[in-house]
Amino acid sequence: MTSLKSRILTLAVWLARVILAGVFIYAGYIKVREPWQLFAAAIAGYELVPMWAGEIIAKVFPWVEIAMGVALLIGWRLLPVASILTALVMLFFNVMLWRAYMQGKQIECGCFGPGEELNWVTLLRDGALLAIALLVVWQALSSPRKRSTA
Amino acid sequence: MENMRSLALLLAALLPAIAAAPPDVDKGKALGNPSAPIVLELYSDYMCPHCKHLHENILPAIILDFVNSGKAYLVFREYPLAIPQHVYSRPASYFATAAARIGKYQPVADALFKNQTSWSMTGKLWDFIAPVLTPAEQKKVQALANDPGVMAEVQRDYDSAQRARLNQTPTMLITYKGKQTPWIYWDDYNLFKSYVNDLLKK
Repeated sequence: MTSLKSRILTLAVWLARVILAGVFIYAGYIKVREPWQLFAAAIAGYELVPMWAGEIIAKVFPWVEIAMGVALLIGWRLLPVASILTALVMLFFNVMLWRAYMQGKQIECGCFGPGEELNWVTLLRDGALLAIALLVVWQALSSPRKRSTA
Repeated sequence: MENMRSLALLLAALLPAIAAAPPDVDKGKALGNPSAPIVLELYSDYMCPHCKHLHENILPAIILDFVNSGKAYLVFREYPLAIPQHVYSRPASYFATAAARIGKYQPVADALFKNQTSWSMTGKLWDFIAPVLTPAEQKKVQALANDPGVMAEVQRDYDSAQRARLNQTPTMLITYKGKQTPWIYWDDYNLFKSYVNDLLKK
């Protein structure tokens, strides 16, 4: 019974990892495919960083998203670092989205390319992704310990 | 072989439609070359303060950089937001569209934006429109503002904004090679300029 539960949990975490990796690779790809100015405009809408910094983030961050997604997918020794980074990024996104939402900003989310409005659906989706990321972190950090005590 | 030829002919017929301006353009509310590679459709609401800022401070640069150089065809679209605070937006759109019918869109739009804070409070739009028109033009514009064709044109613009899922003003709908992208960020004109210039290099 315990073994079945354990297998289901392992499968769930594996699925969560694949979903998260897919989301990050897709989000990065969508931004890389479009001119960087669209993402820079979305970043500027949050009024968090100066324009020059927004431009650098817009050019670099989509590639970071793709790299994190690939690292999550490959797993192995990259998994703990990749999962922690992903969870931190998701946490940051959630804080930023909620901040903008509470301030009543009518801006683009900037999550998956242009034309996506920041609304409660975006908040729910990113909250769910944060939960998934935390699940993957938990698994990534607990697995080696389990192996060493076995 | 015959099918291939038909397909090629169909594609050849469609290509100019993709490159050229949208079919429902009111010539009185457009600037530049209709066959320019980029079409910029500016959706505005005359009661929106950001639209006033764009009209007075950014639009001249857009016209200078992209319209006068033949890179873009600029189309002015009406998007009177259906919110209680913007009760005079639609009448303003009717007057502006009516003025476009007699070739006076720009002076009327300029007057509406210039005096936005005044007529937004009182609803007396005509007090600011009349001075930029001759008495004969005033009569025509007043009649046309109640014309069903003018009202339908405003509604068409509004509907097209809804279809494009535009939810704020001012929004510039940029069409290039058949692809439409809405642009809403106006705090830094250089970013918009860089975006449009990069599009043209593609």
